[in-house]
Amino acid sequence: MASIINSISFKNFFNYYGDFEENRYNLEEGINIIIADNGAGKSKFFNAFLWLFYDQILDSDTKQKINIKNAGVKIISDKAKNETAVGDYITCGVCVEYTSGTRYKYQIIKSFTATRLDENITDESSWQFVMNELEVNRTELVLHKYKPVYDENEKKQIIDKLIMPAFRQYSFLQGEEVDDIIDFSKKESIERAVENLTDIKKYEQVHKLLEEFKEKAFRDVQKQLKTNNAQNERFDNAVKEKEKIEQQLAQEKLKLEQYNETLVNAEAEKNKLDKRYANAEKRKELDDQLKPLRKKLRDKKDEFETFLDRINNRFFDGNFAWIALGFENEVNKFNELNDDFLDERYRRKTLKEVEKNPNDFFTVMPIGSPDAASIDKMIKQEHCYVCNREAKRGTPAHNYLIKMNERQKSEEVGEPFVKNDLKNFFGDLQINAQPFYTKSDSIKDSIIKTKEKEVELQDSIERLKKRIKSLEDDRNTIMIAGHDAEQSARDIINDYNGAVRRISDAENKINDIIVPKINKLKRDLKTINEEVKSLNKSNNIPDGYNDNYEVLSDLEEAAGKAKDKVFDGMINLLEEHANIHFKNLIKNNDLSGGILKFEKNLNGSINFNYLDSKGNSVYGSSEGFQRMKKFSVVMAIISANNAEYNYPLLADAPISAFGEGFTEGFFEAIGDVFPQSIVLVKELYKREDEMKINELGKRLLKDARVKTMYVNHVPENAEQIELVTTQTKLK
Amino acid sequence: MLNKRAKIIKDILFEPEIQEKYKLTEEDLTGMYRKKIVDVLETIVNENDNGRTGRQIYPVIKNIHKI
Amino acid sequence: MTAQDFKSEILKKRPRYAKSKIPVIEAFANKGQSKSEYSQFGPIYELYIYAFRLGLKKGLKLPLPPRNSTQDFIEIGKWKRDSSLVDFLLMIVFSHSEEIGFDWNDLEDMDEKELNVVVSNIIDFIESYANGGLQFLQEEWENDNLINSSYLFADLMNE
Repeated sequence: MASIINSISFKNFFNYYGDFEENRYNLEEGINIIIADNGAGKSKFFNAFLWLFYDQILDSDTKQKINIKNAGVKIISDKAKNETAVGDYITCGVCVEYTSGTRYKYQIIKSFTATRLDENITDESSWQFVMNELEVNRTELVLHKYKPVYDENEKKQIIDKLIMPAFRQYSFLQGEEVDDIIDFSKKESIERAVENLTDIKKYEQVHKLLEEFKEKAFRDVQKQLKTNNAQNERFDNAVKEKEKIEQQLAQEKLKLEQYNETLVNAEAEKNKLDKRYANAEKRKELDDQLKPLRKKLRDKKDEFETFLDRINNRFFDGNFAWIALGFENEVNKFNELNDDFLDERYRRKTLKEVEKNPNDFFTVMPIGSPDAASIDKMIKQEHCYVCNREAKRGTPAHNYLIKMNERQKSEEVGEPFVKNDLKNFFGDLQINAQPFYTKSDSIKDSIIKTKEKEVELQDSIERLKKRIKSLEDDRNTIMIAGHDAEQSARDIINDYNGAVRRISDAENKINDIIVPKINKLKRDLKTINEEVKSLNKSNNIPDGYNDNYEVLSDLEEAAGKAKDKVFDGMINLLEEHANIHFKNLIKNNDLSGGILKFEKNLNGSINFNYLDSKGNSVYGSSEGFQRMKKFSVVMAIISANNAEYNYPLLADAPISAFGEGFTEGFFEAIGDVFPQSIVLVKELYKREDEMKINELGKRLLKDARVKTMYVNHVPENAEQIELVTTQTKLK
Repeated sequence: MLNKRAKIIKDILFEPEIQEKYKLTEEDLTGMYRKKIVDVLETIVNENDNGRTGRQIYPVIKNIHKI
Repeated sequence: MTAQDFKSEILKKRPRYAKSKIPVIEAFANKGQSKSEYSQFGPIYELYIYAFRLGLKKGLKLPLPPRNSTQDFIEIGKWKRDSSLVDFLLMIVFSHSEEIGFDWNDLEDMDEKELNVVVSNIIDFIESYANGGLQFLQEEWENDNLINSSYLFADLMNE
């Protein structure tokens, strides 16, 4: 008869502003998923159950559980507080409805009333709190009308029946708590689990009684012998020998105990550090990733700064020549002026020459035309190719060609014909300034490209920043989860290695020296006992005494073995179940081939390791992986139980933070183990999505095992006072 | 409850060494005639379940051996 | 005078700016020093050339005040050495020869005295437009019309 939670509702409880009806989640047998981003009421939802079962809530700031009586002002919706006038009061509460079996349905309401005393709403002293009486109602399923339960014991029973106190620890999972529930290095932890599953306690009691009786029986035999023994001396000697061995054995056992204590302490430290170690490693890993990224960011920022600083250089750098923008007309004008200048210059020069030798220049050919090589050729061949006539040596035509040739040379020598020869001044400007004016067409493009380059740089800086932020967030999450912000990763790793070394030292001492010695002493004890027995067989004491001692001795030994067998059997069973769950949980991850191995320590605690396919222990794996291991054991404890597990799982998604593979495996696994699961999860949330869920969320939505799915919303960037959680039911 | 008790008794008595030494069989657990060892263990288990202490139980055992 | 001599005459000139423009110069030319809130040029001549270009394109000709109220700075020949920036600047200046009041060909026949007048007019021309440009920047700056962007000057040129 499984307990199934039908609904949970809130009234002015944290962000759940408004009455119960407005904040009601209807739930069903099977898997129920409530998706909420950070701050959207996930841990508040969980807190409702803490209140219900333990009258506590978890303070999200201090991570401490505090009694509801001391939590008052914190847990009332700020909006509700704000809307309450001084002198008025508000109610804050949680209400759960559940069905157990086919006949009854129950309703449990816990609430308190707060009266506002003055203006300051966040001050504890501004409110007067009165805890309301626990309200428990019951109805027959066919009737639908609740009737109050008045008897306090019955109320308590009804709450306990929802999830039995002994099982709450396995049913009620919030992140890190999984780690504390299953700490098999603590003997109590494994014993508690095995006790919940077997009658080991009975075996222990019987064995203890038999030990006691065996001693008594031996003393009875001794007493009888003292009075009528003829072989007294031999018997006494054997008994003395027996006592000596027993003493040695007791001593060795004491030593064993001391070493065990060392071992237990070292293991406890190792286990305490296990998660931190994994965190430290993860942190180191993140730091290793962060370091180059931060450097890259600095470099990029420098590059960006330099880039910005140099933008104005582009005006004057010949490669960019931005200053030339808009000067196209000037450049054209300059070129025109230069052409005119050269023409005018030539005209003036020629005029001057003509003035000097008017006869030589009846006709004017521009200087350099024809060129020197052509004139040379014409003189040699005695033919003018300009007018295509003969110019025989000695004729005026030939002389003219020679004059033309000389004119060319005199020009090259550069007889000054002006005061200031500025031809090269302008010519050089025109040539030298080329880098600036040849680009004028492309400057606008160049500016646009520069702006694009800036955006590009900015984008890559933003991308880097985002990447760094996300890694830093991961890092912070680890630090909060592991409470190890103060301790350096290196210290943790050192401590961890120290503990591992101490464990190994103690184990060597125990396994190689003490245990062999104890075993030898036990063998000796057994033989001397036989000797004592055979010595007193020949004595004349009533058979009953000898029989009594013998029967009790044999029973004591057998009971000890039977007890160990039950324990070992359960451990094997747990191991088997844990491996099945573990395989399911990790099947969507890249871990393959390994198994969980439970190894019994001499002190009765259990080492529980992950062995890879070659049988080697895998240490220091990620926190997610550690959590997964432990969660497998929680599920094993439930599934190894012969009877069906009758209680819902309430989980603040204890492993979803470690990746989609884990989340998917988690949802598949819980369906097989728990009749009803209510799982609060952040990682399926996706703000940008229309439905606000990611791909995995959508897959799960289609999964037949998932019976209901809610998404919680809070307004973005809302003031605390306006922070109200609303929900959408997707399924 | 009876089942669990029977299981503890059987678990202990069917430990190989003791089973062989006393030649214990299923009938020994249910039959009319009880071997002393069965009687002793049953007494301890039952009386323990009844909340009796060791000091109260031991005389009953001695009684089985008539001492 | 050779082409080289003529160029030297221009290059050895130290253009001046009005003392009233010192604030705007300090704001927009960092001279290799600390940064201001605005995008800046490096040496003064960069800002000066930019202002000249701005003044010329916007037709903002503003003669300098009397010499006492002005300040000179590095000679043109030392502006952006190993670059043809000054050549380009001179190209622009000489394309405005008409406005300055000389004819290229006439230059070749002038005596030194006359040439010095032309050179002096050229410097005046540069100074007047640079002054106009600086005046414009100063007003925009004082009226908070300048958008503080790295492309302040590029964008201002496009207007």
